[in-house]
Amino acid sequence: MDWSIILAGLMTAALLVLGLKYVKLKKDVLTFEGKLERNMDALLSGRGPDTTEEVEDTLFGKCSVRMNQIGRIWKQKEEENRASREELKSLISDISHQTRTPLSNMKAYLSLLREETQPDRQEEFLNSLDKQADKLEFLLQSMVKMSRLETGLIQVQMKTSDLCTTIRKAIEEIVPAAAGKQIALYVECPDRLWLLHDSKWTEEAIFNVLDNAVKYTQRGGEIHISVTRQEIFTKISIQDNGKGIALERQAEIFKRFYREPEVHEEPGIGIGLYLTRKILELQNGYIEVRSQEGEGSVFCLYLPESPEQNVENHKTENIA
Amino acid sequence: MSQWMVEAKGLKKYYRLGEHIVKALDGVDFTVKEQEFVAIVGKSGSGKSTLLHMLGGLDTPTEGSVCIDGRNLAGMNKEQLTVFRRRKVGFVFQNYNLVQDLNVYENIVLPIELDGRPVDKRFMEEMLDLLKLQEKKEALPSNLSGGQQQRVAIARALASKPRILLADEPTGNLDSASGHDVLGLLKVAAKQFRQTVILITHDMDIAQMADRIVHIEDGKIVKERGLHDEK
Repeated sequence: MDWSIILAGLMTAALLVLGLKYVKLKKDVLTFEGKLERNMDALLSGRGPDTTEEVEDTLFGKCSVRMNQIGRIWKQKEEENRASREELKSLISDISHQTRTPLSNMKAYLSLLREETQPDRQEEFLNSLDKQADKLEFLLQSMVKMSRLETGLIQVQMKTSDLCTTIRKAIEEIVPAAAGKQIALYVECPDRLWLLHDSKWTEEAIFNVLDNAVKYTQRGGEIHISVTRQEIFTKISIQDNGKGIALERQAEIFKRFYREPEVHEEPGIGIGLYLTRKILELQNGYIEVRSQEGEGSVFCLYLPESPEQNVENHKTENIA
Repeated sequence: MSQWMVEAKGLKKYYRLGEHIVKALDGVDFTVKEQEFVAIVGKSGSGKSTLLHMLGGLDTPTEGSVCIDGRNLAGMNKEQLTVFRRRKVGFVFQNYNLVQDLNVYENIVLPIELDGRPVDKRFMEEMLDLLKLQEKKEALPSNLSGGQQQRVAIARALASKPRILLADEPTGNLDSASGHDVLGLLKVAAKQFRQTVILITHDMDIAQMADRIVHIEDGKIVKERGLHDEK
């Protein structure tokens, strides 16, 4: 008799405690939900979420940190988008302006040519025409590259292949321009260097650096290209003895649409190095520059090693 | 929301040394944008480590304020600072500071588990791939080279997705080739994960890999002069 009363009492007490706990839990969940909703609303309306609890060791504190992060990233993306739209606008007006000049020049030379009877003068005009056509071609090519970049059309396709072949192709492309300026090219590259990379885009990346090297090196200069394998990265270094880059501009040159002030009259839109950097980044690599004004520059392009793939592909190579 | 990820204003740190007062930091104004990779360069004793400690809430300034992610560190008590560091700051030190009894993977996820958060498996895989640690996942730190250990330390610092990553002479114990490699990976990883990084070093070659170099001398920031001095 006594026992059952005690038992019943205990059970009621236990139930009561559980009930209270349940009520408390429910309240906690509701408060949590309320806070969450308030912060989400704040995020949605573009205000930052409430960050007071970020440094508290609570469940909501943890969520709060992440929400704040989302808010910031959002804001930043918005800002980036706006800035790139502005850039694009100025680029389009810049390009249309730049294309106008060679076009009107070509027209002028054509009409001059029509009236000219002396053969040597005709030859001269034809040469000038040729140059203007080159300028135009260059600008249009740049535009195509640019639009590819903008629409995210650069998609690297990583395959294990010989990096030296890629480098050789880029060098072949630059040979005519280098020969025109009597610039000597020295290449130091092992016979074969298997590396996981996108051959087509990497070639473009290397070519852009070589193109600049030729552009900014005086007649009779030298360009040295070498490849070194490090523990993690494979380094392609391109060294010239050209005019170099002022220290304060060394970070600027990789920015989109950056052009050295001295070459503003030459055709170009300043995307070469920007593109190179992007291409390397897409392959988890990076680029750096060391330069001293008047003495030349060294650009180093780094691509990461990938031992597993390397071995695998070597195998298929052997079988085939 | 402030536009700066890190904003230090009029930062001073004076130590009393017997009769003298040592000015480790003497009025430093310093800002870092989100996703910036900044190197602070200076000789030993220039105050660069003190500055980094202040930014990470490891030390309190004598005067001035530090705001990280729009939050003033001065207003926080000890516990809040601990939580703040755990959630918002990643540290990489010269001597790696790995737990020797835990394997690579366990070391990396340790801070997340300490915060009681679930481990983001996909993020982990991505990071292990990027930092070339996939094959070393099960290895113990004692079986790794210095460069590999530092890569683990970087992975651990990035694993909790901090708001800022502070690296104190991360290549100090490495030879120059592997130091360069490790920092290259840090650079690539920071880009990939949109990470803000502040690095201190006395090595100009390493500092050149940053987006911006800040020179510190006798507790003060000396921008332009320093830049050309090193050349």
